[in-house]
Amino acid sequence: MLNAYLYRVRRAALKRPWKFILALLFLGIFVLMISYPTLMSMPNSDGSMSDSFVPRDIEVVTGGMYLIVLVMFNFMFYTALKNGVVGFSTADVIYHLAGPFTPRFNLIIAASGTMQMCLVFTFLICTQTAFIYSAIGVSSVDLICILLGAYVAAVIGYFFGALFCAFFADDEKKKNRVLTAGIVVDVIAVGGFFASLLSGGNSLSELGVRGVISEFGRSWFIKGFPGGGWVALIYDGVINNCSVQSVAGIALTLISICALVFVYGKLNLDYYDEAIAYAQKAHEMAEAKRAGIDSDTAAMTRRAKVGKEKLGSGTGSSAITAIHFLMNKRGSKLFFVNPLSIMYRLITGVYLAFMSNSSDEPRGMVMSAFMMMILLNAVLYAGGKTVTEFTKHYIYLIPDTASHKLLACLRADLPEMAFDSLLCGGLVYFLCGFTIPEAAAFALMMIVFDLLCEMSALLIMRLLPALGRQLLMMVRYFGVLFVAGIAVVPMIVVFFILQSMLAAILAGAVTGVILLAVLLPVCSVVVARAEM
Amino acid sequence: MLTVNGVTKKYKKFVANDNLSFTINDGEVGILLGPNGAGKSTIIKSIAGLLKYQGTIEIDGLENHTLEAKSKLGYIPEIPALYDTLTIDEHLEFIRRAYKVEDVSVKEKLLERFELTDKRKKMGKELSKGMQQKVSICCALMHNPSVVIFDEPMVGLDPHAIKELKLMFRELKDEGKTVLISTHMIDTIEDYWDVVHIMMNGRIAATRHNVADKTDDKSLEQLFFEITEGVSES
Repeated sequence: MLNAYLYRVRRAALKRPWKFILALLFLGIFVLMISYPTLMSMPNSDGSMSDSFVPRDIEVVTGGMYLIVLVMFNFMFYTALKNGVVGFSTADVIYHLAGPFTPRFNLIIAASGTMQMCLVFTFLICTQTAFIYSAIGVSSVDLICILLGAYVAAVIGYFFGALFCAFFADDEKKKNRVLTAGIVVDVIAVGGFFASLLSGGNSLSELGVRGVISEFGRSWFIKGFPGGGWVALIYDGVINNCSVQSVAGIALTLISICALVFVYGKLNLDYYDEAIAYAQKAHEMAEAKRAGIDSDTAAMTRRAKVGKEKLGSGTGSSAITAIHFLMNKRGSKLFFVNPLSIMYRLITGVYLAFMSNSSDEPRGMVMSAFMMMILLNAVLYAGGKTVTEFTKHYIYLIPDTASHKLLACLRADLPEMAFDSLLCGGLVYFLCGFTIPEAAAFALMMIVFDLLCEMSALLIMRLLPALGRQLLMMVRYFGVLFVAGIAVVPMIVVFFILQSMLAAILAGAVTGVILLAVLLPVCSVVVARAEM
Repeated sequence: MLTVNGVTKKYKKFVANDNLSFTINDGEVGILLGPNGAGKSTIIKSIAGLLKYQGTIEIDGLENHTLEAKSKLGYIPEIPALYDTLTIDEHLEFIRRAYKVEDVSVKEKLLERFELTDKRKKMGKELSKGMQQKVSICCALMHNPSVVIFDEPMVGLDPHAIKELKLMFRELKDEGKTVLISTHMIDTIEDYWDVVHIMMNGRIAATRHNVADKTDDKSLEQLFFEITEGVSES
């Protein structure tokens, strides 16, 4: 059966050669990202260092590594605790789970699926190399080791979480107790770290973000963190010349892996329910894609429940606005708050806090702040409700013009965009030293660019529907960045000519508005002629 | 009335529909019968205005892409695509408002008919495939369309819903509506059909009218297998 499984993998690879191209592309991005710190550390022709050069501080690197590895471990542990053992396709369910094979044997398939999933998440960290480098000043070797550690921690975390999920499959209360225990361990580790830090007479404001990160890597509450902390100990020992730590890390990691293999091998785990449910979900998504219907990623990220919210007024295309508002309310109780955007702004806030801590001229961070916000919003709005709405047939059947329908969708997104833009304005006001008019202009520019993200993503999705799901996502992402990049050029030019931040931001916003004025009618035509 | 005239739909070199022409009159139930891949869903989607094609399609004499034609059309897709976080009630209310239907009682009648009244607060993501199909049918009938097209409507429905749906086909017919159903299941269409177009390789291979004084003694099933198996063997 294992041979049959491997044969199917080979066949699938041969049937979809573009996946090889995609894999090569990912490999290329990976190499580029890994090389980033090395490239940044190369001196200029006159021997001086580049403005982007960040000196390597081993203590910050150590602390940053623990942070990344622990976040990854925890994320995968809680994900597995919720979803259980997954990674089976419908074919696996039919031929393996229903076949004459023990659940233990079938775990081999789950293991390969889980490892692939962890690899994707590790790759996502890899795409943030520029941020990691500017924040903690890693070298390329550091980065490889951190990613490797994060990957191992993710796999261990996932299998631990899935183990508990399967073990308490029929007892939700016990599963919740494991969840509580996990949170308690997290609170003890983080609380213990801060308690020991503050009891030692340290001041958080004096230490700054980098200082706190350095201390993070020194704390035994963190080093001793089950699973993730033990994995990070290995490289901690290597870069800090402490072989005892490395040996302890290797030993504890091996013990964790052996314990997992032993427990999975000995226990008769009941994981089929979750596995089948996940396979069914994956199958439905694939079927929907085949029928021309994309899944609503925004809805999937929200734990929506029916409450007291009501459908607002509006007929014709305005009914679309009304249902989008309702879905927003159901997702976050406040229709203007997208939980994902809050998370993204937190990431941006942390990034700006890092940068402002290490920069003498925080206003100079405007470009990196802006690009980071756009990068994240490209994910948020390029796969948002407006874009996914046009993958469903209803919108095409409603007897109204394409432009009305498009505007109805955009209208529903405006409150979320406005709130998000206010947060962006607040961040640059507090962390980049912007004046209120500059921050207000920045917020305005963000709304324009959010709309640009949606328009360009919609255009790409409707013009290139034949691309595979993954390829389409990538093209959509880079397409959005390209359009945003066009609007950034006048911003830079105006800044160099007038030396005025306000004028530069307004130039960016005006260019964005002009691009929008072009894209809106183009999108209307494309939508009117779209094929499902 | 639904008029399809010389419709050709190509996907690169593959011809999904090859110069299709047929008419379904008011008060008639037309069936598109054919094996998988015959091009039934393609022509259904083309009629719904979801695909580009060569040729003309008219709904009550109006070109199918016009707003007037859209307001006269009801479409039930093969795979129901509901909003994950909207309830059944909200789906129907959304369609009622989007199509500017004044009569609120239509929604209640449809919910009752398809036994959805007690489940009206359930969200799209919580529904089984059969339930989603029922909601999809209710949405399509909400605005009292004069032409209704069904793409494999029986798939996933329970026996009671199938019975109700068949009853509804007859009612729609009695009300003078034009009904077009795409299916590959011969046994589900029984005797409520008026005209059957058997499709094969993107073309209409045969057309059979349901008339009381049948002169052709071949059953629909015999004719279907004769065409489909004969073509595939040749």
